[in-house]
Amino acid sequence: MARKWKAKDAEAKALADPMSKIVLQLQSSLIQSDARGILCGCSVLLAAEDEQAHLLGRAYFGDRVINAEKDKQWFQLDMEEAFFLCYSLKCLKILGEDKRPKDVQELWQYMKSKKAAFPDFYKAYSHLRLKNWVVRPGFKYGADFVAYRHHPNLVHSDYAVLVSSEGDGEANGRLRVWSDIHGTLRLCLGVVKTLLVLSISKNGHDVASPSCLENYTVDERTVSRWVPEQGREDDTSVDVESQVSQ
Amino acid sequence: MGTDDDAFTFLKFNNTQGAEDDRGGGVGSGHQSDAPPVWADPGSAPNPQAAGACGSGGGNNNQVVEALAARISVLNAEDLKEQACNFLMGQGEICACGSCLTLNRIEAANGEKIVGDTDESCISKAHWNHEMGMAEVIVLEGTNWKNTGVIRSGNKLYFSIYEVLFLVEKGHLRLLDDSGTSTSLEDIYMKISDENNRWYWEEFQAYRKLKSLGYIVGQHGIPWSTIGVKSKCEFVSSQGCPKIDEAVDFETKDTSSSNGLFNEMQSNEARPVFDVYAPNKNFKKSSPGDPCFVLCFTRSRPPSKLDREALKRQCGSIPLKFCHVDYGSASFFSFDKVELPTLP
Repeated sequence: MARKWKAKDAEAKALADPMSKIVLQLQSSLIQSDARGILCGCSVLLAAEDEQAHLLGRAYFGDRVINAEKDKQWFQLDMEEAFFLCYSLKCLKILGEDKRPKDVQELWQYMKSKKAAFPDFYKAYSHLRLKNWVVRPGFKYGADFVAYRHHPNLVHSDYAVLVSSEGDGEANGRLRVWSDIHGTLRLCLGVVKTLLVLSISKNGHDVASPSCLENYTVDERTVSRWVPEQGREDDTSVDVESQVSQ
Repeated sequence: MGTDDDAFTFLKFNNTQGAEDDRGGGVGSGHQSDAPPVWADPGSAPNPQAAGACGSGGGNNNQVVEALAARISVLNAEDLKEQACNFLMGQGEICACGSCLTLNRIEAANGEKIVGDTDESCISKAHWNHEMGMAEVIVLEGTNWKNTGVIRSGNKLYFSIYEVLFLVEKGHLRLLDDSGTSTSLEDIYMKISDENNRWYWEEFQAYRKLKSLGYIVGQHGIPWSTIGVKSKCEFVSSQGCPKIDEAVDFETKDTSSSNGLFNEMQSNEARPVFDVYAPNKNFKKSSPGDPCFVLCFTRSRPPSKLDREALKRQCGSIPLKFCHVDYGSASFFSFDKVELPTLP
């Protein structure tokens, strides 16, 4: 599917301002300010001064919480986003109700208790973020995440992402019936996204602690409908490869 | 067929499909579009299945013709009626309006054509070989057989059950039984009825769709030719290449023994069925090359990761596609491994 930049110069802007650099700036800003988020249900609330707020926006972590406070801006981070800043980038502390920073193990247990498939979802999220993709919630598109190759101001998302776990217990249950595959692909076609399925293999490791994540592997796979009426002139064996390898 | 008559334009013809047929499959010659017409009023459309080759739907068509003629209040309604009759006959259906019935009777008495589409001189004949589970071609008519049938010892041409069905449905082939009499389409449908859970009909619908778009479709793992050709078993798996007698035998009741090769796959509900090649005028059975993809089927659910991995082991480097057939329509899906780039 064709990449959709939102303006003529958007691609050049993105190249000149790589996402990896923006995230690095955010990371050092959060470390400098000893940033602390507040754990609220399935979200983490984070207050940021002007410049840091700007960086959070540019790296696209969290959503602004609109309130009357003037000297700082509040952000609401999803569990994956917060855990990524806390565990992978080590630039955010997360406070529980006792106002004490929770250690990584506590957080891991907490997030698993809120969302059984959290280890798989987090592996998928961090997998894409570590490749410098911008990852946002995908429920608006009937998916788990959407992945952008730069800030959504510049480009439409390339992928609707579904996370697939091994075994039945923790799976999100998607794409198990044909009607779901038809429906999901139909929707993706309508919003010009490619369906990307990230299958997480735990390779025999458990979910006891976040250090297990290192042993998980991620299988990246696009699911697409092939329309024989359209595919007659093409060499069908190369189409998907060439799409993705750009 | 009188399609260029202005007064007849309430029938909109979709000829695209037919043009592609001629280009791709090219079976037989001199036939007009095989594509069904798009009827202006769905309520007035005849059911193409109802007539079939057995001619049982005559009454239905007759009503349609009368209705069509009556609907148009122009002076030469009789002309229109005649054209509608001709059209139906052109579609391989029997028109049963009064004048046509008379004509049909005369034709039948003369041993001439009854159904407009089937000109005896371009119908091939084949004889079902129970042992091989394929039809041995006895009389070959028409020109383009480069991508239909497999060649076996003695330079004989054999058609698979899918090919037989496709050709008989189109009126290009007559399947003869042991006594040499022609097998009706009904009998062939009866033979593939699903007692053995072998999904011929589902698979055939995918075959028909691809074939009528000009794709070249062979049975997976069954060589196109055994004459002067290297076996293409390289990618079939360590279990070896299925022999021709393992291919299809719709007389066999015991599926477990006759289809032992894919037993494991069947329990996983996923199986490779067709090797599909892009439309290609220069296709040669002696050197078919690698297919574009192997078309796989599942029993009822989409393939699991395990299913896909097992099939991948069998088919090696050939890409897989999966087919879902429901309510008479075949959809095709790819699950392609990709590697997302690391962005700057």
